[in-house]
Amino acid sequence: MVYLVLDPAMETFELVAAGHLPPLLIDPSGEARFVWPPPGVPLGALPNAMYRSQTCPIPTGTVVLLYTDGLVERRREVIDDGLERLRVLAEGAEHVETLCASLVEHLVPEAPDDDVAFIAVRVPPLPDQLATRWRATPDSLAPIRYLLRRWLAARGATEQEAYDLIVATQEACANAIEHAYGPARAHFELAAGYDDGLVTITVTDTGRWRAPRGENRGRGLPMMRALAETVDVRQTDGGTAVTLTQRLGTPA
Amino acid sequence: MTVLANIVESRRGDVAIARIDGEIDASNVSWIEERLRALVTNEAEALVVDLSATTYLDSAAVALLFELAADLRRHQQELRVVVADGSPIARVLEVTAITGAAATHPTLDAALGQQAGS
Repeated sequence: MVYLVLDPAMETFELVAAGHLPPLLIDPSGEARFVWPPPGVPLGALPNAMYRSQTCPIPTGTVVLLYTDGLVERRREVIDDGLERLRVLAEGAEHVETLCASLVEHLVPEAPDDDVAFIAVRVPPLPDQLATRWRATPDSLAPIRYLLRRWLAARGATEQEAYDLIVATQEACANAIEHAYGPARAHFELAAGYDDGLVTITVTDTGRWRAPRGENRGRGLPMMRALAETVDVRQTDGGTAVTLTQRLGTPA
Repeated sequence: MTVLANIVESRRGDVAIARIDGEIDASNVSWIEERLRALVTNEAEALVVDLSATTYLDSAAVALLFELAADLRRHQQELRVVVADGSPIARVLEVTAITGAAATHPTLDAALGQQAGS
């Protein structure tokens, strides 16, 4: 058995194997390689077996392929030959559909000796333009951060640039969540655009921007201004739109 | 729900130490506030909030630090913040001028080496 937990937000997966062949990773450049997890005996083979997991990075665009031994094992052949046949066939694969079709065509025998199963997963790259909608609750903040982290990293933002923009964006989101409206089931929208080094992020809600109250509140707007190049708060009949821009590659 | 942050508590003499591993935002800041306030006993001379392993914080966390600093000062106690030089969160603390309310130190050792009131 092989068990894999994929975390697209952090671009990692955690893997544990119990007497299973190694997953195949096809990176965005098309290069295919096996990931050998810490060895573990098959489930049920030993009463007190211990299993260790391994965490691997999986950059956007990478394909992960899990398969049973029926796909690679042939009689009168060492397993390494079967694995290499799979690796070479999978190299260059960009789409999971075409990869799976090619595996069925070339590696699944007409009358298999063993059962054959495989799963191909790809973390798709995020487009230059993002349009997303979120529930107006604090629980939305973390997933928004993880999404923006991936999106900004793919656009070449440094860690500090990404961090500053994410904090600034989250301040706008926090305002939409905290002040925008009373009733439950409210939503707000977050759009992000990238054009030739310029990042524009807009947070739109359907409520009114409310001046924060209390001595230790109201750091949101000054923080946005300190962390992003431009901050524009626009009040309309329909709600509030906060637009942040930042040119990547300019020292803070 | 995913766990955003984990607080590791310890004590060195009369100083309470809380290391916050992970992320702080509006969704978990009240939980963190509760834990931090529970750490400060009457005898404690200072609370050290160690942010060396904190990967994210926003204005909700900054507001908490300011409130804690003010409350501790009122009781002749002290808030010390550990933040690694050059870390992404250092910049957020810098733009919010937290240094005006609490002493910041680059390492836990530096925070513990400093005597209260100095």
